[in-house]
Amino acid sequence: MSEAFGYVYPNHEVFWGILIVIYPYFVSIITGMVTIYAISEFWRKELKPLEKMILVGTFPFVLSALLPLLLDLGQPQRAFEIYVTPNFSSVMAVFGIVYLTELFAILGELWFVYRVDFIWWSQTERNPIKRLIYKILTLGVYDISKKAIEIDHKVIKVLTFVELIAAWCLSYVSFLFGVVKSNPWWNTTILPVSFVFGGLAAGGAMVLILYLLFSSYYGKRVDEKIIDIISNYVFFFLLAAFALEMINTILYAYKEDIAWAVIRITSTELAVPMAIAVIGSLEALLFLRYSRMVSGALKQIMVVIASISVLIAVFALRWNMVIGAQLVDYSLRGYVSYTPPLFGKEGILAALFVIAAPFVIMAIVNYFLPPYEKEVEETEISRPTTSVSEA
Amino acid sequence: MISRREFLKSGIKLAIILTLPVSSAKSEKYVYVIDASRCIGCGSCVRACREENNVPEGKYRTWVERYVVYMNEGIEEVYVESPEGGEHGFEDLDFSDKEVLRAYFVPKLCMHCEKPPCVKVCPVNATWLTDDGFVLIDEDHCIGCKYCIQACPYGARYFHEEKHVVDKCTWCYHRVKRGMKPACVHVCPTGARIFGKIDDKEIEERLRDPTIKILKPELNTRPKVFYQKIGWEVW
Repeated sequence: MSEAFGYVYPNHEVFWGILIVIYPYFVSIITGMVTIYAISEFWRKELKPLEKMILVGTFPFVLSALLPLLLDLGQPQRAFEIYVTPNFSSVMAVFGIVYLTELFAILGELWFVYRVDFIWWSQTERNPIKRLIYKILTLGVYDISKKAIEIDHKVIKVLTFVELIAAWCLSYVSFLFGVVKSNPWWNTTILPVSFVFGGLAAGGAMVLILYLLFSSYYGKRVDEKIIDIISNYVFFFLLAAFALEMINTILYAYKEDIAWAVIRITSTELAVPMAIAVIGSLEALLFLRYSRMVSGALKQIMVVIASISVLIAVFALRWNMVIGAQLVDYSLRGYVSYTPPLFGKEGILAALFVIAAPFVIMAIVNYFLPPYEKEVEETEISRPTTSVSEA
Repeated sequence: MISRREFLKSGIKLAIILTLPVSSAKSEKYVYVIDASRCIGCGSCVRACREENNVPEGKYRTWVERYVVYMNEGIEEVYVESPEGGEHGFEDLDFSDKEVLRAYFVPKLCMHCEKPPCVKVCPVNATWLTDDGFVLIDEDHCIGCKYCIQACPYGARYFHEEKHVVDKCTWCYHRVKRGMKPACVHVCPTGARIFGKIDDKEIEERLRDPTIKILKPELNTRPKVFYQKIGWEVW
């Protein structure tokens, strides 16, 4: 699905396709969501009501993050070799270790955050299968004394910290590309930093969308203060990412080194995703800024439009980072064009399936671990509290 | 007649000498030298490599590039081509309306770098640098992530679609270990490709040439393929 222009090395092609675009994209979203979670845990108590929802939202992305990588491997059945014979000078091998840290941290966090709920549901759930599952999930721990809950909260803080560090390290997956000194588009110091900020914006936008979706599903009133706080973070994260991307491109153009000649002619290939990234970012910045001045349904519509724009713009940036960089041949004398196929492992349909995966998993997780109680439902017995302040 | 003391002393000295590690004066490192002025672009090397190593169609462990440097409005312009990796030779070019400064062929292959970026990025240690300087791939261990392909600045690696792993030139390791030359060196009709240990007489003489070059030295990969008689335009 690629065609060469100018002189390119005979073995050159786009080796990493759309799946490897989705992989850093998921990682970006995880970073942003975990960061908002950490903000709510450590700094902004106003965001506390979002904690469970963010966990339920993030966990499926963490589970799905490896999916595009596995599908892209030539020998996926050997993937576990990364843990058996790791090469610690390889960013990819280190990524494997950081990924496991993130996965176990979020699993631990889910257990501690939902521990009291598990106990409650294991006694009140009417569906016997679900009741059994909750009973298993309690791991035989039924202590809901004030002291036990205080310890839970301390552990949650530690796990949040580990999760945050791991998520940021995961986000430095951009090093995977940054360390490839042969590729002029990747060989830049700004790349990892702009990648992190793009990720923070995308994750924040995902939290905003999920908050509105979950609120609507559970019939909860949308707290506009929460929207304003997160929108503000997303605005500044996006501004930083956008500025860094622009500085990088301007510096490249100004320096005019040997690679620029090829990047310039390749720009026709990069123009569409670049335009999406620029227009999407500017539009999102505008909507995020002005959504603060309105309220009600209009505010929610503006925030949804802005959040979707951020997600699309960050996807376009990832596309240019992964696909765009590979268009330039290492001979620096030509480039290849690339159109993803519709079918096949590297096709658009497979990509859509991978993108849908976290949302399908999220529906399942939400079924077993609902972050909120439905407002219409009334329980006869008073439910135990899960926070120290409430206790 | 020697005394018992002297006999024991001599015995200990002999034992020490015998147990000292034997250091070979000759280096075991292999290098590859290409004399571009001798290459005629016949493509024999590319065909021999394909046959010797079962290289799939459309992929290349070695290929040949043609460079034509000509004047264009007072500036040197470079034309480069490698149709089908130069496997079937090159057709005549018409540069009659231009002032051609120089034209020549340049064979390319894996540089078997001393600091190979491909080895550094492999997540599972499936590719490595041997003591005698070969960069090899264990196809039974490679997970096919293609990270090494991205890391190689010389475009020497490709994805083997049938084996689903990465493949590249091995300098015909299997032949060299049997005392033979790599297939491309063996079939070269003009002796443009020279392969041997770094202190072989012919290699040593060529490495003394002050104009000898390596490709992309700025990347600090320390290639072990050296080029003679090429211009600035080759990288």
